[in-house]
Amino acid sequence: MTDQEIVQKAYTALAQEFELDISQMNPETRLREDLGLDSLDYVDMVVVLEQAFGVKIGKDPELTSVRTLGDVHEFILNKKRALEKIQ
Amino acid sequence: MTSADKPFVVIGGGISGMAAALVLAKFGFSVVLIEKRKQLAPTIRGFSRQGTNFDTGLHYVGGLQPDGPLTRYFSFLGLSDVPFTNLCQNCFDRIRFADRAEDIQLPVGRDAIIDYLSGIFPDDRHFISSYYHQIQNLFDSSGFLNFKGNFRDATNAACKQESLACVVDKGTQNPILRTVLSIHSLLYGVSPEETPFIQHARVAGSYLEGVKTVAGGGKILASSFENQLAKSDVTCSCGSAVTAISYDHAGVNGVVLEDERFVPAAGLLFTAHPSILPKLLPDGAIKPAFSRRLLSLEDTISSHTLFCSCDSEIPSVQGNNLFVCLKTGIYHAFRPDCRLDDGPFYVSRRVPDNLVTPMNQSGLIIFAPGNIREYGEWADSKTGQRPEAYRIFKRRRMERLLEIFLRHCPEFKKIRVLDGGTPLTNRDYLGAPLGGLYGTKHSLNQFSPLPATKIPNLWMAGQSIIAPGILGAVISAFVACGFIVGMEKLQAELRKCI
Ligand SMILES: Cc1cc2nc3c(=O)[nH]c(=O)nc-3n(C[C@H](O)[C@H](O)[C@H](O)COP(=O)(O)OP(=O)(O)OC[C@H]3O[C@@H](n4cnc5c(N)ncnc54)[C@H](O)[C@@H]3O)c2cc1C
Repeated sequence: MTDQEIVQKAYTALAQEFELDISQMNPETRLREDLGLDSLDYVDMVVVLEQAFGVKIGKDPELTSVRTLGDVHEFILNKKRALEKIQ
Repeated sequence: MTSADKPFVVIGGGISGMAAALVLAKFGFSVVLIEKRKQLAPTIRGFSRQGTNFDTGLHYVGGLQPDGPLTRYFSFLGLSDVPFTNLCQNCFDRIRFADRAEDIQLPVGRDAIIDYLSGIFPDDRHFISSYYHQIQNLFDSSGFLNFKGNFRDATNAACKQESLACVVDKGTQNPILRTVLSIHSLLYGVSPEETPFIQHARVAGSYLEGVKTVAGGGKILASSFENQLAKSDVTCSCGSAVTAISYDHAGVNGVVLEDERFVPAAGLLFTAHPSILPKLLPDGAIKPAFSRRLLSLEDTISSHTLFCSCDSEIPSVQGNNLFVCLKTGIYHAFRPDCRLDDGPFYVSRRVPDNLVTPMNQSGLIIFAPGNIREYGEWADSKTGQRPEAYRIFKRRRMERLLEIFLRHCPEFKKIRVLDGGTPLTNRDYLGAPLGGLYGTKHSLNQFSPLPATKIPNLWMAGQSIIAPGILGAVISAFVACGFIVGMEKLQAELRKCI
């Protein structure tokens, strides 16, 4: 999967599972202020991303610094790279 | 009806629902408690067969020493009259290994356990001591277990955590000791490989002191709750399940029951199995992400159970529980392909309510691991209406369990089997969709739901939310009520009970 495909897949999954408007989603979009996702939603977001990409994210401390959709891509791409290194 | 006259509704009349109803009533709410079964507290009430009484859901609890957490919660709830009795102080848990001549006999008290185990495993005495001190420290570090601290925000803090298996396997090479130090994972039904050590410590730590059972069984605790609910003017409705939650833009406004009654609600606390919640809510009330998460939570271990009677005393389950390990290690018990033949077994005998109760009335229960998948073809059948093929399969299972058990525990040869249970029995009696004994897993691999939800007047409590067991269910009720009435206000009231 290319990085672009990963971003697209993450947007689609988040839009569907949180009933968001995909046309309003870009890397600068802030999860809390723009999308209305609060700390309760963060956990659900992790589960959505885990199911979308078939990776285990779990209780990763790095997640606490995720603020924008751009941070979300960055986080997933990092996970993916880490996984590729192991394989 | 304005929201001021609407009652607060609690769904589920188990330990957590009853405890929460009492707390809310104490804070001046008018409360309606709704239980789908005919009586409150079905999980712990137990039952009888041919004059023999059996306990389900409550065999023994810890934290009941005079200043223990459960003592304080029960005193706050007005349940100080419950006749708790001590288990045997020198041995509350007996652990038998197929390949070891002597049983391990765990005494009550941190230092007593450390001394006893250090005597048996002298090479590991440093680890044994550090293990139990760590358990005690983690236990005391929770504001809900040690009232000196603060009720901290009960979130699934995102931090890397070690598993119980990791701690134990790093600490000792001895397979028997490893098993002894992780045996209590059977009390919450999650493998040591995926249990956060801190979670283990907060359950197992409660069994270091004040280890007791209720003389006369869980139904005595249930009736103490019932008396207190009546005194507190809580309206209890039993025998009709909530089938839908009514919701508008402002939040929950009522619930619909199976018998078609509508009960208006100013707020709602849900305490049944988390996977039931999305099915009760109308479309759009919660995001698909939350609904999917609740539906995909994994359940704790399930069981095969033998319900037996015996006319005489059996010393190996006299005032204590018995664990029988056929293999060393217990990870296998939690795997989906676990086999009855590999154990372990958990055996408990009810402590009679008085000295004149004949021995044969004190039921003896033998649990072995089970997986509902094995019963997939009968998943659509209900208790009492299961097909012949199921009954034959179940009988074979029960015979096998008894045969293997007696091979390792010949002193039980005079027991008579009166009934048996499978994961499907658990499913139907406990309202646990997959037959799990302790709700959903508190695991490194999944996020347990939190007390607060995105719907402003809907909260969750119960063994799947904060911690399992009687103590966990009570704590979950207090945490949820803390969100509802204000955490500080609640903690201040609780402190008055110290
Ligand atoms: C066999 C067994 C042995 C155990 N032994 C011990 C022990 O020795 N010590 C210990 O501490 N713990 C023990 N436990 C665990 C302990 O019993 C539980 O953790 C505790 O009782 C759970 O309480 P709860 O209120 O969270 O859940 P529950 O008791 O499950 O309460 C939820 C209630 O909701 C009701 N309900 C479900 N759906 C609806 C609906 N739609 N409408 C209305 N009501 C509904 C259910 O009927 C149920 O009564 C044991 C459990 C089992 C099964």
